[in-house]
Amino acid sequence: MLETTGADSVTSETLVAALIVFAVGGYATCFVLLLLKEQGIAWLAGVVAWAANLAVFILNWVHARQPPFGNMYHVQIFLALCFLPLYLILRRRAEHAWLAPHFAVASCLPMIGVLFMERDLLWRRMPALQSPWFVPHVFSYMVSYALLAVAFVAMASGLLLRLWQHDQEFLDRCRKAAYAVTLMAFPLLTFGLLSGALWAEEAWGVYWSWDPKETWSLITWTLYIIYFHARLSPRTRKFEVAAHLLAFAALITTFIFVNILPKFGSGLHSYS
Amino acid sequence: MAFTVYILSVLVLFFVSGAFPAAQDAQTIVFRSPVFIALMGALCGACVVCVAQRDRLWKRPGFVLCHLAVVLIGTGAFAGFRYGKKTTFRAPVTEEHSVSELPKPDGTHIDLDFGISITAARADYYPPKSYAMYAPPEYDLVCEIEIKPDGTLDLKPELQPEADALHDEDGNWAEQVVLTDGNLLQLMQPTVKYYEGTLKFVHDDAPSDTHTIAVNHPVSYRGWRFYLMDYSTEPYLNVSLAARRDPGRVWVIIGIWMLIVGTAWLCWRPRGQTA
Repeated sequence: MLETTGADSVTSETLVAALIVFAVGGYATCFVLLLLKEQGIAWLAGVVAWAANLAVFILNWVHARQPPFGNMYHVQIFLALCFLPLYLILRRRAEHAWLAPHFAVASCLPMIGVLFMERDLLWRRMPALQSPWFVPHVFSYMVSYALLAVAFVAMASGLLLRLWQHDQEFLDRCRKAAYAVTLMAFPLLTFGLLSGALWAEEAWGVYWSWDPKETWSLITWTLYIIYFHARLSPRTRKFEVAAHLLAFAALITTFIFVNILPKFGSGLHSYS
Repeated sequence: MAFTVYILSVLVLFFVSGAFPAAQDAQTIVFRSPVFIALMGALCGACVVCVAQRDRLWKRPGFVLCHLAVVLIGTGAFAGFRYGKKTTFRAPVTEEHSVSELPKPDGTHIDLDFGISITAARADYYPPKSYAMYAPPEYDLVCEIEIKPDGTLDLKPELQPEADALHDEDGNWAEQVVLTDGNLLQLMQPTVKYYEGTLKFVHDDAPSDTHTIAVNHPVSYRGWRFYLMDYSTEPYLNVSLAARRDPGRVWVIIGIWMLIVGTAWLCWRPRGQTA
């Protein structure tokens, strides 16, 4: 996109940038304070950061005049917004309440990404995106990505402590938590993938075009299927952690690398 | 179970090889190869065997739905791949021109037992949101100037053009405006919001039928589905349509919904219940 020079655009962009910086700082503070067991003030920082994040989401909606899911900037703002409500849902099961720092750090990462991103506030929906599938498709994907990011952080932290401190008990606890969070996420990931196929059939007359974004989303989904199946058999249980980590690597490829590496050239998903 | 893990792992390797950006046309080479189709067949077979080996299936609706869904999707997709017909064609918007042979990319035709004409088409655009600024003497592109909600341009007050200069006789935004400092503003192409067309099906044995077609709103007719792909006014008003006849479509759709429901059942059922 070309550079804009207008004073009004600069004001809006400055406000949005300030709110993003504020949210990043709040989430990071929340994470550090949770590690220091300062629960009360940590939650205050987390809630204030989430409010700033919500303000950016609302500003995006006002500027776009439609649900702001049109580009990477929009969806990462929404992705970061998902973590706190999801944690509150998961927290109802007391054995997973200790995952709070994982959620805080996972909220922070997409907002840091947004800081370095071009922010197209005046996004307009192309005809193919004018569909009732648009919001549920993106919404389910973003909620599932948020949960799977937390599951990855739990699994990776358990694995690291196992490697450095030989803490098998913590790894087992992390595996159990990662499994519970992945179970929550997987139906949403499935709905995102398959609603995309139904939508493509309505829009272009093909369910599946083997477009790079589609193919990588199928790789991600299949790796999570392998993870679930690997858990069920003693012969394949040793692949469980590897499958989970690989699945998240594929998710990151789907979400970020397919868009930023020009050679991938995702024609049908050039807008996402 | 181990067999399923291995077969899925091999499938992932196929997917990765097809998605790898270094290979030209990797998708066509990999995903239409007999080996890939055989692997998908093996996966469907493994799903059937997996279901057949379990007892008390009525207590495992999520498990049954997911596994049979994979079989239905695989079978429907194969039927579409093997016996389906699909092509894309461009047709002028006029009642006088009727298409009854659909051209295929390989030069052959698909014969229809009816004719199609596109009798009308229209497009809606978003309001233009900006001008591109070009600087003399070479008129190189300088920047984009936003049109503000109050109808003025996002420029310094001394460069702000008069309201009359910004609009033509019909009240539309002027295509070009010259600023007092000599810079030229060119209206940026507005974004298409929506387009639709009117399809008329003509045949010898029945009265003609008329349907409205739009992006995301295909039209079904005598086993065919038509999709509006594009709209153009150059060199004359015309639309691009995709036509598809797919015997596996219903099976794939049923399979997709079974997989959505089955996965939710398996993952979200209260712990302690049978899958």
